[in-house]
Amino acid sequence: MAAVTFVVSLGIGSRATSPLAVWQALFGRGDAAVAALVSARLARAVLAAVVGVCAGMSGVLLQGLTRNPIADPGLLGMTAGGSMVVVIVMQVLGLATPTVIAVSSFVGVSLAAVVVAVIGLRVPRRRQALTMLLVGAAVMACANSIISALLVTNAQSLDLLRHWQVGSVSGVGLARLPGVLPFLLVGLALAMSSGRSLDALSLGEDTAHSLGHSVVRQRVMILGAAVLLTASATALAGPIAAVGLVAPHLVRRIVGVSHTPLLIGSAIAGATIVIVADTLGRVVAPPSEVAVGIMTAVIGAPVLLALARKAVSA
Amino acid sequence: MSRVVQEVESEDALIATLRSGRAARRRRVAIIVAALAVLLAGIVLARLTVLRPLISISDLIAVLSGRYVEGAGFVVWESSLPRATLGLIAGAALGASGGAMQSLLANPLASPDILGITSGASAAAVTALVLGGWNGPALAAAAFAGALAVVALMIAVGGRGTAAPTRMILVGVGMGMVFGALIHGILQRANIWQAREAMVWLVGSLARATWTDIGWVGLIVAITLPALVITGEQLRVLSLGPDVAQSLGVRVRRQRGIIVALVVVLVASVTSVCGPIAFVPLLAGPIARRLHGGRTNLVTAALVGACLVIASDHLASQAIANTALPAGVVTGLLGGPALLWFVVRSTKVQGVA
Repeated sequence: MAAVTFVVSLGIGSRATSPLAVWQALFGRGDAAVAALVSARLARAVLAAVVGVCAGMSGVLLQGLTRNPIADPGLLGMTAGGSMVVVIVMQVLGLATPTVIAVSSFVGVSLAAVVVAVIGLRVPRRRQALTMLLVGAAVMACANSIISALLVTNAQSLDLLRHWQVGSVSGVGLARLPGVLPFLLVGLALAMSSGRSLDALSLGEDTAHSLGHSVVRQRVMILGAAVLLTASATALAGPIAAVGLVAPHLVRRIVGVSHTPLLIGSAIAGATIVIVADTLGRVVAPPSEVAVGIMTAVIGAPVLLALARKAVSA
Repeated sequence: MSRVVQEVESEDALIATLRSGRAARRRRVAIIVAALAVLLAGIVLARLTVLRPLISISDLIAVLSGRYVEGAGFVVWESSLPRATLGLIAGAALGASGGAMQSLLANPLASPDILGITSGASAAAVTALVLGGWNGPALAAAAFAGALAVVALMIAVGGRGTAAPTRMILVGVGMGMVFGALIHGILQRANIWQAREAMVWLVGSLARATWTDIGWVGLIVAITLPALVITGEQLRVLSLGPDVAQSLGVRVRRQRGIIVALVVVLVASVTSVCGPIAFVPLLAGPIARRLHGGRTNLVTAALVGACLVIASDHLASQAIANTALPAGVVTGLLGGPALLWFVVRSTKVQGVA
């Protein structure tokens, strides 16, 4: 599925390219212009896939960790925290190398995650979900006002950063990938090893404990994985909304509630969603493009509404 | 016989105690409101005089009475007075609507800014400005439609029953995120001048205000704010829960609808002129409640909101020489930490939500 959308996305854009031409370009034959086009699209598709994998998996991790169906790195304020620190570093220090962006994104995401987790864990169980969501919204509002404060005073950085701030995989290329890679790989490894602890946690803290799981350590590990993945996605493409929310819910219908297949499935679904959203964004309003962050937000809104309706039906 | 007399006497005593208690509370409210009004007047005066260079009180009186004063006249009429007036209107409207929503949804964090109502208004305003080139009343109408759309979704999905407020909060938070993404998307499409102008709707600023804008926003707020304060009297009963309120003779659904509608009008009209001034609705409500020992009082919330906005605007415009920051930056920077402290405190007591 992801592979198919990946290949199809190479052919679609404001200038349509036939599958044959794509095929030829991929293997170094055919028209040079088409080849350039396809290689640009290839970079975008790779980026979109990576971002989607990160978002989908961190959605599963956070939903499992908080035992709350409406959790997502965006809603919990984590991407906003990452963006904030990236914007501060880019503007105040004037640095924008891939490594700097990756590190500052990681710092910001961790900061937001710690704030939300610390406050969320102080309240009684049945109020936790809503409290975390509201704290996330508060962190988001806070981060956004700091970002705006910086941008409003400086037209140049506004021009530079508004393109990044929207969540986009275009014009980025693969240059940022190496700086992010260490975070990404550690995050993926942690995430893939946490399937069993997520299953145990979903039975409740006490049961998990009596099954011999060290609850606190596992929670820290899961949160760490989510932070690393979110930081990677944010550093690569800026804040991309709602993928982490939508992907796990789609996949849960197919593979059930066991977390290891859920993690793999959500990674694939996340990649598919981001590639499709990016491809759609290229063609909905030609000749300009709609950034992938907007497309996913639009796709995510109805899912969120449906979830909100279902989650609190009592 | 004697028992009856005793009972009557003790009932009288009870009523007397209740009466004196109520009178004491009313006095306390009056003192707080008066003190806040004095504080507000002081802040407005400071806004008009503590500038670079300072404007003396006698010059200010001369300017306001219509005489020509070299230098001071222009500053007062074109900058500080319109901004102070708009700050008063916007702050009062945002503060009162924050207090009303928080009380209605029984959650100290459920203010129009956190719930995406202001983001809805902002997103619609930015869209109308950048893509349609609208301004003036048309822009305000767009902002109103945006705020209304968010609230309509909140109500439609929230449905009925005891879980309705929770569902409304979920929808609101989600919509805030979606509209935030939309605003950024539209800013990206705009040219750089439009984007700078549209930034106002991300942070909130009083600097764009013209007297025409102030006139009609003032008119709308002058009608809806008193209406909200009057209907807000019912909030205390509503906060006992829908069942209790119903049995006490309150038409719960209708009252809720009216309060939400008034909040939408206030938030949308203010946002269309000066953008979402971050955190003012969120902060004004709890500050007012603390002053009143846990009771909701929308007049106090409005006064606190006005003080916050005017003071922040003053700080923002004067703090750094030659750099004019929008008011929303200061409220955002002050409000963020204050908000987190407040969340931590309130979770310690009884848990937010």
